[in-house]
Amino acid sequence: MNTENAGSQRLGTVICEDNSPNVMEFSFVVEGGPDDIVARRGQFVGVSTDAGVVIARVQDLVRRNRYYQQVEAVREYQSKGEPLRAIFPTDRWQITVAQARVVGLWANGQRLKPYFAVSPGAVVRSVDEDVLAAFLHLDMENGLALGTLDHNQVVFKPSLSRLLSKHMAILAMSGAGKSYFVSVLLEELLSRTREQGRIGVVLIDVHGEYSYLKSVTPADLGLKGDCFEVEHVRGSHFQIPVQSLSADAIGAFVADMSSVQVRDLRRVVSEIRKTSPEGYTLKSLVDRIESDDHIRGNTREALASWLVSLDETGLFGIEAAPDLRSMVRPGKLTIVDLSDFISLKKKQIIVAYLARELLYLRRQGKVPPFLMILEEAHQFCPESRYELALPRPQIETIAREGRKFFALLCLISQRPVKLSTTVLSQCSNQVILRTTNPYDLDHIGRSSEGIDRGALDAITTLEVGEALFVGEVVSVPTFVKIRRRKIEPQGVGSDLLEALKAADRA
Amino acid sequence: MSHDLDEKLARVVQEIERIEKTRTRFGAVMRQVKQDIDISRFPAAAEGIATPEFVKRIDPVPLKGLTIAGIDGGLVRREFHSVDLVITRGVAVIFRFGFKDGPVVDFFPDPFPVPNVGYDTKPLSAIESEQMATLERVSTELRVALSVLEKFHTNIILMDGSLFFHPRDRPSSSSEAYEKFQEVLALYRQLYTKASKSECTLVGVVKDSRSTRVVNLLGDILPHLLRDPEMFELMRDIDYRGLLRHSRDCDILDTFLDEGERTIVFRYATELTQSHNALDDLLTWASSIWVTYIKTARDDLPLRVEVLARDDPSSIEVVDRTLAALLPLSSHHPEYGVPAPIVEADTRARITNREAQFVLDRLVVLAGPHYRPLEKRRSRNPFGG
Repeated sequence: MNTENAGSQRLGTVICEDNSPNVMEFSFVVEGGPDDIVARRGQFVGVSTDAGVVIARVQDLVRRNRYYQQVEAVREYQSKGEPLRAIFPTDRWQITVAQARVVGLWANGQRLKPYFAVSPGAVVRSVDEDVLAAFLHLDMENGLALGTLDHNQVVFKPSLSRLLSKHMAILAMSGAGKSYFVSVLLEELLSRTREQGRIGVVLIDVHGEYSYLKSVTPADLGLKGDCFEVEHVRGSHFQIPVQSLSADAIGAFVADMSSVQVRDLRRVVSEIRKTSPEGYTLKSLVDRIESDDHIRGNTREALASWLVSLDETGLFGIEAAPDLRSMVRPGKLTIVDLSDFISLKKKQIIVAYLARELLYLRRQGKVPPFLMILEEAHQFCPESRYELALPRPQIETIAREGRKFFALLCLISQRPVKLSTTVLSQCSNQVILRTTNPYDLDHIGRSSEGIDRGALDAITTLEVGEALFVGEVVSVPTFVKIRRRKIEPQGVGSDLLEALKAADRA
Repeated sequence: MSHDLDEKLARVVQEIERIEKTRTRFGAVMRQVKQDIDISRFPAAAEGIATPEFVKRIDPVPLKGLTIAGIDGGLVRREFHSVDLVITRGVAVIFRFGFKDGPVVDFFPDPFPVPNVGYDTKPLSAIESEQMATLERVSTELRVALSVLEKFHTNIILMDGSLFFHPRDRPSSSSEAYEKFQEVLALYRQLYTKASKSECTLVGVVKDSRSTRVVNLLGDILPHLLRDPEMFELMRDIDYRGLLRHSRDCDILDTFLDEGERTIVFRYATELTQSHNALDDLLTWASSIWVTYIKTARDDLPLRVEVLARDDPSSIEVVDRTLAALLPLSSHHPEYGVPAPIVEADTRARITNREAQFVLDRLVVLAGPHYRPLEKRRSRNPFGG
């Protein structure tokens, strides 16, 4: 008999049912009194065998009581108004049967596919912390402490490499705790030491939810020295240097520029780069187009019109602000705060520019590996209305090619069904918080290989702050209670009543 | 074939209808007169009957502060060619009624005791084998009852079944089962002695009694009662003699006893005398066992209740007090008037086929691969059945 896990808490005994125990499932009668909650749904449990520890997860718990099996008898006995418990010791007949689904076999420090059924009568125990951490591929030394496993007192510390190296998506309905989880993730990323490996983070903050982090210091996270840096860039201060944009790049900011128009623009851009090596504005470009006799009248007017329209956004100029090379550094968080903008187009232009330039710089080796966190990702790379999604090609390019260069994406969305399938399918890890929309659930189910029907059903019942991790980060889909964040944003009220009272006081 | 069967069944239906009609009419008359019947007017028929009234209403009492035990035994018999196995289990459930929502319940020896396994390698006849098994179960129950008397302070002990052995379970003195019978008698004596010395009332609850004591009594007194012209008029055209001939006490009492009513209280010994098969030394105890019937649930047959009480005038008070506690324990289900401790004990004592099979499988494992307990041929017909 394998002695691993033998010291854990005894939970119950495997029983025979119609088709179980089989290789993938077994049921066990739970120990303890009628009011004790010994096993919980979602809990990992283990059965020690000669071949190793069979690890399973409790899918459901069924309570049985012979006194309540005959509905007619219950009705008749209670017809005088007294509960059945007042007549019989019904509580002494209460039995809880847990239905567990096997998730793997842990043998000699390795996770194997289950290939045999556990024996009826076998003792079911909780799983040792060490065994469970190893089984789930957690990195208890250098991992990111994001929370605790639901119903198992194990800190959930996935390795940074497994969590981020193949992109990640955070999906949930509004108010389920997406931003909270991102805050926790950022705290963990900022807390990393040089020895543990630090990643540069660019956070596209659509609603200004993370601006509170701009003043955070290492001491706030219980760290010493200047081990991290936070830069807050307001969208209104953002400036895209026009001379860095090719004709195609400018064309990408305009949804329906024709190939003839791009060709003419390409020539004009080439000429102006030679004549104005110190830089130029869109206004200069418009002047040059309007004085160019080689461009046909209609094309000239269209190009000028688009460029004027782009210039009116105020996002373009001669100098780059901020400098993208200094934006991405190990241990640095750059928050690009787009909350100043109401215009979606302005936000899209900035995201498109950042995505393209950062990937380019990373390919050239001019910036270190980075993680780009994109809030409201469905606004920037939607599945439909391609013409209105300016950054989509750039984000899809990072999704497809970025991981080779460690240009990594973290997409956040409350409408997964509206998110580009191409991008979502490239996210090898998904963090799913409470979601109830059936279309979104269906989309999540179809885009996630590791998620089964039971886990999908459980997503609707998740509490705020509970998440399901699916993908390469863990060996099996894992429910996690996200930890409390160390830094709480000040002056940000989430309660309507409090906001109303504050407004009244003012 | 089907035509013949239908004809036969139709005749059965006709007979049932006739009996039911008679029963209903008889019950209607008895309801009118039951309160007026004075048994003491018929000394010859009333021998061994302690109460003058034919029926009496019992008022239930609150159970708070009472401790009432229920005891039952389970039995499974497996016959093989080489050995007969008798698997028994006795269990006591002890209900302590306090001020909380429901009773606090203890179990003896355990909530789910491991069954006892008895065996016999001697070639017994079918009747002896049956007697042996029943005696084994009875002895298990009696031992549990004795332990409860010793270990718990109870007000009432409810035994599932009679307080006295059934004549059918008495083997002949030359039988292999006779020794077991003697052992059971000794246990009965111990139980009676111990119970009578304690403050606990020993009660037997017989769910499906086949006794005809009350029917016989009615057969004796009705001709006298029918001398009253009014009564005669009521009973005219009702074949009560035929009805009584084919009825048991519970059947006939069900026609006129109301919920909460008991019948006459009579000595168990009067029934024994009729069957002439009691042992003299136990007759004394049989005189201290008082029997009555009580209707505990509206739509269920009356229960036969046997109470061990001193052979003195206070005994009927003991019986009525016991019934007053029994009523609230039994009247929750309109169609099942069995006291809750008996229901609980019955459930815990029952030995399922699966449990019995487990014992047999274990036996085979321990006996080794050469032992194959060959079941009787009728049990291993290759075509089933």
